[in-house]
Amino acid sequence: MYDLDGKKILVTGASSGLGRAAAIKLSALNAKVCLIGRDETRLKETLSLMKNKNHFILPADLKNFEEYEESFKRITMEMGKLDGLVHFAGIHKILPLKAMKVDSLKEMLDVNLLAFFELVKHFTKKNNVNDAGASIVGISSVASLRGASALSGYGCSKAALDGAVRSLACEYASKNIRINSVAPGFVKTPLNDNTMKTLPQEAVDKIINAHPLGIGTPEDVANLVAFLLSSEAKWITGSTIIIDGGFSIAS
Amino acid sequence: MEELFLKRFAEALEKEVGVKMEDDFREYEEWDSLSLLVILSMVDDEYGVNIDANHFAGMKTVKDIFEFIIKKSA
Repeated sequence: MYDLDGKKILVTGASSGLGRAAAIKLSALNAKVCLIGRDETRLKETLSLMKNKNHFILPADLKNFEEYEESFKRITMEMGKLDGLVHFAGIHKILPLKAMKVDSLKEMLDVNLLAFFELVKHFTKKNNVNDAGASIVGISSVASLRGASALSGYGCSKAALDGAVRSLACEYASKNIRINSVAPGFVKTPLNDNTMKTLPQEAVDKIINAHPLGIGTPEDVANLVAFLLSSEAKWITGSTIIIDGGFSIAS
Repeated sequence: MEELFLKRFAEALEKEVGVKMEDDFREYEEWDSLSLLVILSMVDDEYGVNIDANHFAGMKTVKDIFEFIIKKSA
């Protein structure tokens, strides 16, 4: 098994679900993690589940773009230059077009997409990133590749993220900063449990049955993210890696 | 409030003839698999009330939804 051996990694959305599982996994591989999320109490819960206690908690709302510069200053002052960034924070709204208000679409794009751009912009600044290189992972979704009713807004935010990853990977390759995205299928998380409550049971069963290997766990995704952040993945950039129990290849 | 709710409900489903409290909304010609999400989202946006799909399954008339909103906003 590889080791992240003291790599300094920033994880957004670390207060629950996929972000929490990844933070735990990264700490198990001996990374030093900066946990970002809105809720300090839940970030502390994540921290209590992690190996080692040398991590750094930063409660922040990623929609406040004007705070990023100051936040990165605090992070690097605390941790030194960073080796990795994973953007797990996201909003998942199931909305038919006719029920979609511009504001709810904007909110989803702010967190899922624009926050990623701003994070990458600040992360890659000379004072913030390791001179030897780094790895960035955006969290996409199979909704970026496959259509479904009521997912146009969410799917668009994730497809846009994948599109950004391709060009950003070219833009930062000369600095040895790799940028990829991961597109999970349906994973059992508290956020998804809430979303599922808004759907009738038969719709939920249909989603579950569409995954030949069944639905995933947050740990499944955490393992892939940890790999992409490690030097084992040093030849992978600009890719969207699907992890979906076969959802996208099944007919 | 009652009148406004009926107006919003009809608009959400694009039901030009309007809706009445006693209507069984699943019987509307306009009702389809997405209507559920449209109504849940209208109720959330306009009244700040969340209805679980399981709970929604037990509702039959427009009035059932209206009364749920009143109960939750009280």
